[in-house]
Amino acid sequence: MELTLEHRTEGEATVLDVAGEVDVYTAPKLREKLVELVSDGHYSIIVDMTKVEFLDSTGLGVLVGGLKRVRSHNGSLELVCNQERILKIFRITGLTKVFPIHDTLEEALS
Amino acid sequence: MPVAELRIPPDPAYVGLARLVVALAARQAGVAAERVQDVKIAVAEAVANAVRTQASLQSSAPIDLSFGVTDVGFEVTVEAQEGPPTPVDPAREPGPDLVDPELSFTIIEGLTDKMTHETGNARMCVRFVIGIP
Repeated sequence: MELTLEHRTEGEATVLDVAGEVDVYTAPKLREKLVELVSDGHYSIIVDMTKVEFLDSTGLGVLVGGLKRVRSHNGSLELVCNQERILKIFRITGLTKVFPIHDTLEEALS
Repeated sequence: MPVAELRIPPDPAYVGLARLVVALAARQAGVAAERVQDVKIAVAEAVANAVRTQASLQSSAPIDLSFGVTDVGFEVTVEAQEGPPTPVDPAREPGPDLVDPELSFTIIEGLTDKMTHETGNARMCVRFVIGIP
């Protein structure tokens, strides 16, 4: 499965829907999208990973890069993820302490 | 189950193929369903590191995987072969620059029962084991 990326505005936040597989082959596409969003002035980003089938460390690195970019503009980058197999990677790497991770988009938007 | 081998080019586009093949072998070998996902991620990390190694050496030498049941469980070895430097293909896919070896090895170690890795000037070899119930 390829990676698909779509973004929309929800109130003051920009929601980036990520679906498919994020690995060393597709992660550059996610990086480009986050760079583009921040360049366009989107500093409050919620990455919805509900439909992510696979994520490895390259995807984590891209998300950390995105977080650094929005923070340089006093912004935020939060995640929506309720899949244990993905959350496990965040826990192993200690990134659960770095990213606010929500079970649902509604929770993230509130 | 005999040990199988897979040789792929040092190209990010082949990482998905490698992880699917090894995950299928793990399933057939009797690795628990919930741990097959761990195999997939560990393979992706190891192969991405091998791709990064070859990219940093400007090498087009292949990456070899061997996998199968041994006396310790389902064992996977990923090795970047040595080869002479080759001209950098300007159209080469981006991606290897995103690989953080330390993060990768932390993940492999966290997901598997045993992991060893060797990295040198022109060598990268990762070996890991997932237990079979």
